Amino acid sequence: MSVILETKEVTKNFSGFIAVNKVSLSFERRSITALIGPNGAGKTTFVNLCTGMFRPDRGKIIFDGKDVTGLPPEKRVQLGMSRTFQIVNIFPGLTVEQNIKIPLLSRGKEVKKEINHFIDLFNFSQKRDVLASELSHGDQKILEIAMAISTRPKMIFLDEPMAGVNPAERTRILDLIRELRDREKLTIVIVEHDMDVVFRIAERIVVMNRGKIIADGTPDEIRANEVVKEVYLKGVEV
Amino acid sequence: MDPSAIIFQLILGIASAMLYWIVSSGLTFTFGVTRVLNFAHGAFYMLGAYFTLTIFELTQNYIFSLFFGATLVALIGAACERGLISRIYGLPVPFQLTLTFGLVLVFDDLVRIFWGSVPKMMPPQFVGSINVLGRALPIFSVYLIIAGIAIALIMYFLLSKTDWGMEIRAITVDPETAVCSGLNPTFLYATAFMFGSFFAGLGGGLYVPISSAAPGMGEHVIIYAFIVTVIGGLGSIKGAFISALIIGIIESLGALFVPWMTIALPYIALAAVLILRPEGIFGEK
Amino acid sequence: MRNKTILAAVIALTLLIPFTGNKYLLYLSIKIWILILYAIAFNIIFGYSGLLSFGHALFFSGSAYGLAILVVKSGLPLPVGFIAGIAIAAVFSAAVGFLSLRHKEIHFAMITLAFSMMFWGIVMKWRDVTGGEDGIAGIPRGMPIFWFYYFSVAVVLICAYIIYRFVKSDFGLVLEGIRENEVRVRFSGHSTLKYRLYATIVSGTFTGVAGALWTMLDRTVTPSISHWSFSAMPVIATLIGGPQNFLGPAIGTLIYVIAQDVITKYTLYWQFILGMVVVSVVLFFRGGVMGVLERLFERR
Repeated sequence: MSVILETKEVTKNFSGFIAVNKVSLSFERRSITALIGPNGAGKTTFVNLCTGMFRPDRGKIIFDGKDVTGLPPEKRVQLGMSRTFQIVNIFPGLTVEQNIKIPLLSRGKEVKKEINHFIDLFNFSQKRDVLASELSHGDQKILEIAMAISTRPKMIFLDEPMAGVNPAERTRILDLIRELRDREKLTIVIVEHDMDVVFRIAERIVVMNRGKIIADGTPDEIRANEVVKEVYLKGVEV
Repeated sequence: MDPSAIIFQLILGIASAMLYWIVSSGLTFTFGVTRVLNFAHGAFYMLGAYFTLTIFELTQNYIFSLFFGATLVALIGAACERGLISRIYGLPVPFQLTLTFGLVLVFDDLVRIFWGSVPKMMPPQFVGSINVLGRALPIFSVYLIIAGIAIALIMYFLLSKTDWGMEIRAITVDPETAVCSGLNPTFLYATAFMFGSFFAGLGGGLYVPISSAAPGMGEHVIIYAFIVTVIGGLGSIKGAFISALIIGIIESLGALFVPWMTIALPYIALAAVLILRPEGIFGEK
Repeated sequence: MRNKTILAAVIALTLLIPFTGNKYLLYLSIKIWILILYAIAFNIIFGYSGLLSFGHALFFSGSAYGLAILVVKSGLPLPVGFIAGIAIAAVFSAAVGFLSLRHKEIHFAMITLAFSMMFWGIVMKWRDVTGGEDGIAGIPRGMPIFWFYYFSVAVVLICAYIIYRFVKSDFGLVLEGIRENEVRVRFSGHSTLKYRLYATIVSGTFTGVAGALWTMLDRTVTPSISHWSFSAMPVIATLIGGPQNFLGPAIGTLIYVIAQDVITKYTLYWQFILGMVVVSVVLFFRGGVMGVLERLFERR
């Protein structure tokens, strides 16, 4: 099956506020999709639903052929999903090495070799024993991506990976994302506000507004889309 | 068992519930605003008892002693908030609980230093009883019920009809937005703490005529206040009122039907609520 | 390596205590060793997993009363009572662990408090079995106090070592992850519920060992060891010593007990002083004594 993730009319209602409204989307394997839209559009909530932070009030989520709608996050991770968060979610009081080790432990055997593999892959060799709280913000973001990758997922959600990152780190993360897709054969979904990054890296752009999908297509199609321009890209040079 | 015994027991339960309510209202209130669960709330209760007792010795006027004592406690509460509690906002819960527990130890010994270790009593107030269903209901119980309802009404009024009350509710629900809208958190947190401590002191002052003032009395009551607060929902005044009634009634009916178990009943209720509905009756998830 | 030598030297010194002939000192020392185990076991879920329990007295006294009842009232041999007491603590901790799985912070503290006080209520009221307020007396020690000292030290050291290996293992690392960021642990593919449950069982069982030793030392059990104030003891000791260091609870317990013992010789008001210490630790020394020492001997 070329579709790795499919959501069928997922809906999430927070005490009357409908954050995600009957969203049906499918994602092809090894694709890079960007999810964009104004604040409050429901992007992060959608990611939360896919990854298991919340259960949808209605609808289904099918991952790699399995219905994961009711599964808790750890089970989805074990099946091959992974994610990073808008606000960096790592273990601040533990070292870089310990941070990467914990996700590796959920996969069992051969942990020692794998730690070194990931530490080298992400250029943390000099910083293995540094406490995560003492890393630069950009390094923390990359650490979180490293942790998300170490579970060897099939699909990864990156929630605003560029938020608060300086230009040099930005390029590094961008290259990393491309490498991830090429080398690790990952399916990637990025939630981003940085249009520069989005148009450079995404093969497909899905635009959300008020819990619904208002556009879905290639970057060129989205660039030309009048509704999207009105709602979101007004004044933005793309 | 004849029904009038049960009803009578119910009334007694409501009376003791009112005492739980008065003490817990302050605790849940300060938690709702500052997010700190103040162990020393029991110590304030104890101070209220001692202050009321001593001021009564001087003035022989119970009502005056009660309110003046509670006011003194409120001032001490404000001092604690400014000097200590404000430094632990945002810290993990264990640190908050232990600091306030440390305060309890300090206040317990301060009381021993100033008043001695032997429990002190004051002459009973509002003596006598009225005939209810053929049984003698202490007038003090009636007085407690009236006081409890009055305080509930006062709280309701203050919180919903005054500017201060609105600001308190705003900062409870959404501190960030409240501060951005120009509300002063320092003032609100300090006054909230004063307010809560006032009622702790009032509770102590109400309790001392029917029992005594002793060091360590705060530890007995604080656990009850915790239980009532958690069952009602942390931060919910409404919840504290209802849950105080539930605990008071369960205890007094329990004393009638299962006296061997009464001592554990509030804890059983707490465990049951935590298992079935951890956020409490009126708490948010 | 230097630290380990210092530690070994200190322990070796304490092994000489029975030879001083001072019975009071001997008794106090055994008490300290037992309470050190209590605090170290408690810290498995506090310092390492980030969960504050206000109900560890349940495991301590469950084991203590179990031993007392089986040996004094039912006449079973002491070793059987010892093992049975620990088993009871294990069962209690499994039950509490299971029922409190999803509770965090204040609610976890409250639910552990609730179960512990329920047991206290039972112990206070069930005179026929537990002796009520008077408790149970006449529990045998099985050996002269001279040897009981070495027995207790051996048991405590063995248990402490096992706990050390446990918290330093991969399992312990995930527990620390739970303390640091529970969400991230779940998104790393681990079932945090499983880890919490096992941690609680290990913590409660070793607490039970401490409880069994205590009963043999005191030769009586009373409800006071089931009361929440006894649950507060390891909390304070651990905070004073430093929750994120393996030896923190041990140091804190030592300070707590000695301070209480020494201070009461000079003033009645040891609680006042303890209270001030606690307040200062929370305000200024959140890493506890070990935190201060670590900062002083920084090797970066």
